[in-house]
Amino acid sequence: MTVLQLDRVTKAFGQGPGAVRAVDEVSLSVAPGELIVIMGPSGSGKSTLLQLMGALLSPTSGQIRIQDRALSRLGHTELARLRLHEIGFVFQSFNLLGALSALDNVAFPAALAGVPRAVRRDRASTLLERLGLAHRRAHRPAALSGGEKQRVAIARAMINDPPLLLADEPTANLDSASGYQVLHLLQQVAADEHKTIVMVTHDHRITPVADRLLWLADGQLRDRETDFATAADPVCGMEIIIDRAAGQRDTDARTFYFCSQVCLDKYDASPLRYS
Amino acid sequence: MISFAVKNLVSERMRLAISVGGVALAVMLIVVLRGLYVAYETKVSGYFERIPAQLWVVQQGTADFFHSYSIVPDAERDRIAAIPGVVAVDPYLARQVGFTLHDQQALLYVVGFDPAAPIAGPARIVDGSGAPGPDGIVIDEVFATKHGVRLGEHLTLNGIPLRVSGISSGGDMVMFQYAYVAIPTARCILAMPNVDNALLVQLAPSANQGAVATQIDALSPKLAVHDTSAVVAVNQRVITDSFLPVITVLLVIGFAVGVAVIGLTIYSAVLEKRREYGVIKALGARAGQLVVVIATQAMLAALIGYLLGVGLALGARAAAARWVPAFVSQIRLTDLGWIAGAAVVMALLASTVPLTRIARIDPGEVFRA
Repeated sequence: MTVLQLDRVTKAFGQGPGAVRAVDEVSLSVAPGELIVIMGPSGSGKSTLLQLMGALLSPTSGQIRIQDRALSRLGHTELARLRLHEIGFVFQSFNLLGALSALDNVAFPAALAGVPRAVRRDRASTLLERLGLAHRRAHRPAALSGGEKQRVAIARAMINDPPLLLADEPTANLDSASGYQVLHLLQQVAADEHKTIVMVTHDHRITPVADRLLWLADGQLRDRETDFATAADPVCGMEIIIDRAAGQRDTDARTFYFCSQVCLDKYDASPLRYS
Repeated sequence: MISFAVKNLVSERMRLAISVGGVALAVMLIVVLRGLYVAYETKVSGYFERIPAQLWVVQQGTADFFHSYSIVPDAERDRIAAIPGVVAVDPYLARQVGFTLHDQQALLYVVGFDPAAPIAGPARIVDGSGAPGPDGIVIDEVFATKHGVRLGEHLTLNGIPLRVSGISSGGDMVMFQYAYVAIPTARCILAMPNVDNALLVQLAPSANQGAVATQIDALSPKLAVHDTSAVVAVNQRVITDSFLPVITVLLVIGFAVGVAVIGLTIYSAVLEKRREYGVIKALGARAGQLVVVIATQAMLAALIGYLLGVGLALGARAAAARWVPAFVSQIRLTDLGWIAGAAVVMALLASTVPLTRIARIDPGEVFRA
């Protein structure tokens, strides 16, 4: 039994030779209660992969199944229903609704699901209390700190009791203390509620809490970071996979790898500057 | 969803004020214009409807009393009175008369009537007497206010000095006002010693109106007979034909302004909160729920604007009645009902553009920091 299964999933943007494969033949099975962390450099395809898992994007090829339901067989309305009941989202920028109080924000997905007002408010109150925000329930997002906003977002993600939580850089906009608090909260949710959590991040603090740590680079998934030989482009500083480098230059002491022809040209114009 | 829509709308007070204010002005324009039109129509028909004659005998070819001039020999009264079923035949003398008042040109629609049997006389007397003597005249209160004429003052019409003996109401035709004099005085002023503009025929309750009309028709090919409803209709058409196209255009403009104001304010709110709508879509909102959110906001703005607009229109009408007596506006509940319906249609139309925009929002945008 898997909560989430990806089978050779590819997402390409554009067509023909100029097409960019943001996610490239990714296969993955996630068991119930598992906390998976996907790491990778910027532009590696993490957000695209999360959108595919969240039924917000259709794959160019391959199959995605959530709770054994193939997403490709679902229409717009059924996908919306699936997101509402089977998936909880936690976003990097919190994405709370500015006109609503913390309580109403948490209760919002339950309202979308047609849960009666009294029931959903009661459920939202309980969640806020569990996350230590009972005293902030009447406050709007503008009056909350970053950590509080993210805890409200986690409560919102849990209101409809979905089996799968997808978190996109949940600690990126938080200070160190708030980041750890959110992290442990997610870990606790996975353990206590037996929720499956898939988190994408490039925050290395998160790695200890993961049941499984996966690495994504250039749209491809690996079990270990070391599966990729990487090097820093001396011109732009970006971490790149050596196998996919646009070019290389050898000096007496070392070899440089470049992300693109632009960086390569800049290096050639003035090699001493980057050596 | 409705609760969210309400909170979303109320949280942006300035935008709500602009939206409601725009709709209120549009609704006020519509209510006032419609009230103006109804008042014109009612004033014209009201006078003719009050006259208790069942049949009007006019010169053949007469269209209405404002645009054509009917001449009927007074001697025809006796011949018509002899027809079985006819109870009374009264002369109707009425014509616009221009004269100088306080060194300015003034206009009165002078009507001759019999103070003893005032069937074409004033509707109500608000001051003085309703029975003018040979040198008396009853003028409408709107004329009196507009020209500063008081009871006892003298007006000279076609060289005949007349003392204002009464002030009446209900005789304002907007473009001019009615004035009432005794029939002999009217014959002098209008220079109609032995002709009338029409003859007013009253019938016995048992009389066959159609048969009497046929007999009157047979008296002379120069005469035409109309029942009161036909006279009302033909004179109302003067107003409807003149003003309806203009008022219709203004009503359409008012409606379009309302749609544009609601549409633009809700659309700009959607643009500003596109990320939030993306979040709502990502969380699993159905298309119908988004329609409810947008339509509720538009509807709320329209209904608050409607109530405010009606209030403003009533206020404007009260102020106008005090300061601009010639301005008339008759606001009816049925009209307020359809204008409320128009406000709802405004809201629904205004919702379409923002909804189209929301439909194009990619929920995946919410993953961008």
